[in-house]
This record gives sequence, C-alpha cells and structure tokens, in this order.
Amino acid sequence: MTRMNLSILFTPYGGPVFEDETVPTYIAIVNKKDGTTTTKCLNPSSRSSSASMSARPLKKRLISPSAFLPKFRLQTGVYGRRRSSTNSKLSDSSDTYKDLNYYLPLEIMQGIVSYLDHSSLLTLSRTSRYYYRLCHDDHIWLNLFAQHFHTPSARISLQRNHMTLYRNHHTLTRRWLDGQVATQYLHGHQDSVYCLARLGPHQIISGSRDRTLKIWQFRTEQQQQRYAVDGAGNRKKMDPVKVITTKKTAHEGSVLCLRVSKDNTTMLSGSSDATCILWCLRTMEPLRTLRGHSHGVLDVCMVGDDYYVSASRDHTLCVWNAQPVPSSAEGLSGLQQSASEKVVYRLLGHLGPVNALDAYGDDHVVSASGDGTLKLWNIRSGECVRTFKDISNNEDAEEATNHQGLACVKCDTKRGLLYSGGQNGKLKIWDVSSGLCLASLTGHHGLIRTMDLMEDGNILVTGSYDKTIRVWDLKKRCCRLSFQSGHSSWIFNLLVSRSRIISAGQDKQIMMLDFGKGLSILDD
Amino acid sequence: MSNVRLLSSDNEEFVVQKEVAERSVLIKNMLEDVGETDSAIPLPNVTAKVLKKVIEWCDHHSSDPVTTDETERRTTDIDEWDQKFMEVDQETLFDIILAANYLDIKPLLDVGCKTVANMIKGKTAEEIRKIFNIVNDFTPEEEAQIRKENEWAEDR
Repeated sequence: MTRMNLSILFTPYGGPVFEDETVPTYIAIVNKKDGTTTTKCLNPSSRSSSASMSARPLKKRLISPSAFLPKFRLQTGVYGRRRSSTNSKLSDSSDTYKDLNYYLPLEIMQGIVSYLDHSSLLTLSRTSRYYYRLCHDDHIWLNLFAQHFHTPSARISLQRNHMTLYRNHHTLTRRWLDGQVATQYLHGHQDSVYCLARLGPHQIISGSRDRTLKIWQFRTEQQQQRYAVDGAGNRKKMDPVKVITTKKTAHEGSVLCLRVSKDNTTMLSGSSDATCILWCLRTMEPLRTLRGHSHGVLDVCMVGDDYYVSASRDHTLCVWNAQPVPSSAEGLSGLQQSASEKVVYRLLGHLGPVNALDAYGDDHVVSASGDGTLKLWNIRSGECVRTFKDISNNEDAEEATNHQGLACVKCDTKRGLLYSGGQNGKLKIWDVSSGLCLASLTGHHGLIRTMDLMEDGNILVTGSYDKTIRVWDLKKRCCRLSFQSGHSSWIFNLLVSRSRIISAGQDKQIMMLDFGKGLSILDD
Repeated sequence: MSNVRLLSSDNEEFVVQKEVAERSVLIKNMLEDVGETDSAIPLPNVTAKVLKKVIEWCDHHSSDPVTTDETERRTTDIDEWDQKFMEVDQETLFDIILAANYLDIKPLLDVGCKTVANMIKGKTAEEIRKIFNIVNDFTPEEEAQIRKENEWAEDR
C-alpha cells in the first residue's frame, strides 16, 4: 500500500513560491506494494535539478572502479621534470615549447597543484598525460580530503585511494543537499520505540514501550556487496540490518531513554517506572539500579567519567556517582546497591518536567524543561550556572506559557552553542556565554521532540510530532531537507551520522535513511 | 646596519641591507657560515632582471613575521601588493618561482605557486592548454574516458 501524507506539505503557508534558499527540498518516502521503499522529491520546478537527481535511480550513480587509472599508473616511471622520448611529436617543437612542466621542476608543480580545488585539479588532469599523472597523485587528494572532510586515521589512510574517497564523500555531501536516500525500516518492537543509542559504527540499540531493548546490526556496504556476488544466481535480497539481541528489561514501565558510555562498555536506561538501570554492554546484564525519582525518568546522560545525570517528570535532576562496581561484587549487587546508589545532588529549579539532557563538556549538563527554560548546571558543585529563556517574543504571554515547553536539547561545546526544540515547533539556537537566543528557525508544524547534531557541527536533524524529519544547515541557518511521510505517527528519537539518519517513533518502527548507499566512506 | 653584496648570474652587483637579503634562507646560511665578508655573494642561477624583482619583494616583506603554521600559510590569500607584484609576463613569473625555490624564500614561493594556481582555477581544459602551451597528447578515446571519470565533480 502506498502511504503518503501530502496534506501537511505546503500548509499552512502554502501558495506563493519562496526564495530558493528558504525552501527546503520536500521528500516523500513512499512504501510500495512489494515492500520496498522509494523517495520522491515533492518540490515544484524551482528545484528541478535536485528533483531530477532524486528521481534518478540510485544504482546508476554507484561508482564503478575505473578501468582507466591503472593504465596510466604503469607509466609513472616517466613522471619527472622532462618528459622522456615517449612523445617524439613534442620534441620536434621543443624550442618554442614553454609548457609549465618544462620550466618548473616536479616539486614546484606539486606545490602549485596543491593549491587547486578538486574541480580545477580534474580539469587540469584533462589537458595532457603529464598533468593527468600529476593531478592523480594520491598525496594531493589526501590533503584535499583532510581539508574538506576530516583527517583520516593513519591506519585507514594506508589502504585507500584518496581520490576515490574524496569522490565518495563529495557525492555524500551532495546527497545531503538533495535528500537522495535509500530507506530501510527496522521492524521488531511490539510498541512505540522511544529511544535509540549508537553502539559503534555498525550497531544501534533501541528501547521501547514493550520494555525490551534490541540491538541491531548493520551490514557494511562491502558485506552487502560480497553477498550479492556470491548469490548472483538467485539474487536473493539480504537485509542490510538485523536484530542480534533482544533483552527484556527489569523496568516496570516503558524504556524512555538510553545513553552509552564513551568507551562503549556501559549503558544507562531510564524508564517511566522512575528508575534507571546501568547495563554492562558486553553481557547485556544489569549492574545497578538507580532509584531516587518520584516520577518517570525522561532522559539520562553521562558527564565526564565520574557522573550520571537523570532528568524526570518530577521536575528534578539527579546526579549520581559513576564509580564502577567492583567486579567481585557482581553477584552481590544487592549489597552493593545501597552504597553506590546515593544521589550526589538533586538539582532543583525547573518548574515543569525535565524532558531532555545533554552534557556540556566534562563538568556541565544542560537540561530542557516543560517550563520553557534551559538550565546549565555545574554537576561538580550542583549549581545552576545559567538559565536560558527566550524573552524576545513574549507579546502574547498566554501563548507563551502554553506553547513554550522544551522537549529536546543538544550542545555544541566547541562553538559554545545550544540547540533546543519544543512545543512551538521552533528550532532555537542559544549562545552559552551570553545566554541569548541567537536564532529561532521555523518549519515544523508540531512539537520538536528530538534532535541530533552531526559530528562536524554543521548539520542538525530534528524529528517532530508533525511526523517529519528536517535537516538544517547550521552555517546558513536554514532548513535544507524535509522528509515527509516516513513515519505514520509521532517521531520520538533520532540519531545522525555522516551517512545516516535513524529515527524511531510511535508507529513501532525504526526508519533508516541511508545517504551513503553504494559509497565506501569513512564513517564515525 | 650592514649591507650585503649580491652578484647575479650576468655579473650585475646589488647592494642590499642584510636583513632584506636574509629573507633568503640560502643567503642567511651562507652569511652564517662565511661570516662578515666584503666580497659579493655569487648567485649563478639568478639573472639581474629576476634578482631585482626578488630583492624588491624581500625589501617590502623584510619585517614580515615568520609563519610556521602550515595551514595558515596555505590558506591565506595573496595580498594586494603581492598581486600587483606578480603582474608580470609568464616567463618572469616562472623565473621568480625558480629563484624563490633556489634562494629558499618560502613565502615568495608560496605566492608564486598560488598565482599560477589562480591562473588555472575556473578555466576549461582548452583554456589552460592555451595559457601554458600544453599539447594535448590524449587519444580521443582517452579523453572521453577521462571526461566520464570526472563526471562526479561537475556542477549541476
């Protein structure tokens, strides 16, 4: 069946065409009868270029290894200051010939091309064989890659062709602009999926109203391709994702929130039963239960290596000691609990449920509350350092008190910025040092329930009760993409990586939007 | 303030302030090795025409701080004075680059390389061939293949 909700697309502001920059690309995710999924760009003509891009099947854009490159590699022996006698045509006219490379030695030529961008490099490579070789030098592409994307670790660098890597990341960047994705649904939970956490580059864990946790394993691009070659005869389709563990929790309510420690050894879950459970990720066994709240735990957070913080519907935050339980006491966890379970601080100040948390550096945490404020806490002293409240639009006081509740927050410690979303559907950007709201971006038509920041801090993705997922360009402070109709109900949580958006919702499913399909890239 | 005498390949002598001449790491090292000397330093790879230009550049930049930050050096744009300075015919430009390389004047070499890179940026392959007298030695099949290879970078 085809499920597409078009009614929310161009309303309530629908009508005249906006300026190109301000209109995101609207993408519908369409489930076809055969169970597969396609995407469709919904924008009218103004963005026809991206529309045609999205309409083009993904497969055609997959990169096939070039048969051309090796041919030239064989000749690299003549890669020097003066071309050898391979080209007699040129030596005939040598007195009038003033080609750059006859003039300048190789190291200077390399210096010159190191100042070129990728497209100039490729154009130059088309002028002659000498330049082709010069511009395909792997070092140049390694430097370009490090400048534009990120510095690959030494181990990975050794094994890669950096021009291919650059090309794949360039393609990936384009897909983030166009919204060109492959969609995959992860089915398995019996009820609403409230929370997701990353366990590494190829695993995520989810928590649900069905009180279970599930670990999902993604097959890498290589693994998927390897299988496709093996089973070429019957072309049996392999699921790119599978559940590898299902764990029934001891929670007596929904699993509302999850956080994994930086070293990937432990995890915290929070539940509507007002408790938190600390898990050993290796064994998936509970280590400790944290009791201290009088209502549901809405979010949890690990700050530095020493503290856990929990936020609750009871309007408070609790700071817990993260001392590891001695391994000998594993069987005696009952005895250990009373000592380790003590609340270090109870942070008071919010006048409504505390919906979300995010660590700000190793000493601070930011909380977002239904009372419409964000608070920055020093968890070592237990003090509230700053309260953030947008006072710019209080002309309608009643509206303000009803619709200002905040549901999610993310911190960019490097830039000193906070991002918040809430009931009014506005994405707000806050300056930590001044406490001011720097921008308020509109687009969502319902409560923004969840957000995640890409590692480079330039892209933020939000998920809303309006059932859509929006991708925001934080440099330009505008909305780039809006994924319509992917979820049939409220979106509760999402995760972003360089190549994927993974979202979970009330419709019991987890959706994966894969921008990196068919590309071998460096992720995480 | 002491002066240094420099001798070009075509035997023209230039008298230059020591700290101006020491923008060249080659000359600086030479002076350190030889000590104070009255005789002119011979620079057999640089003609008077080019040496005059190089000295002009060193004089203008004699009090520049030395940038050790590689990324900063790479990413800074050519300043206005340098842009004017580099408005010379192509042969002179290449000669300045070669001289900067020989004399080991990194910032001047950078400016030279960036100037040439800017001449390449935004041009078509045919335009680049024209500017630098590059002879196309590809077969038509190879050209078609490369164009296909490069499709990913085309602006849409």
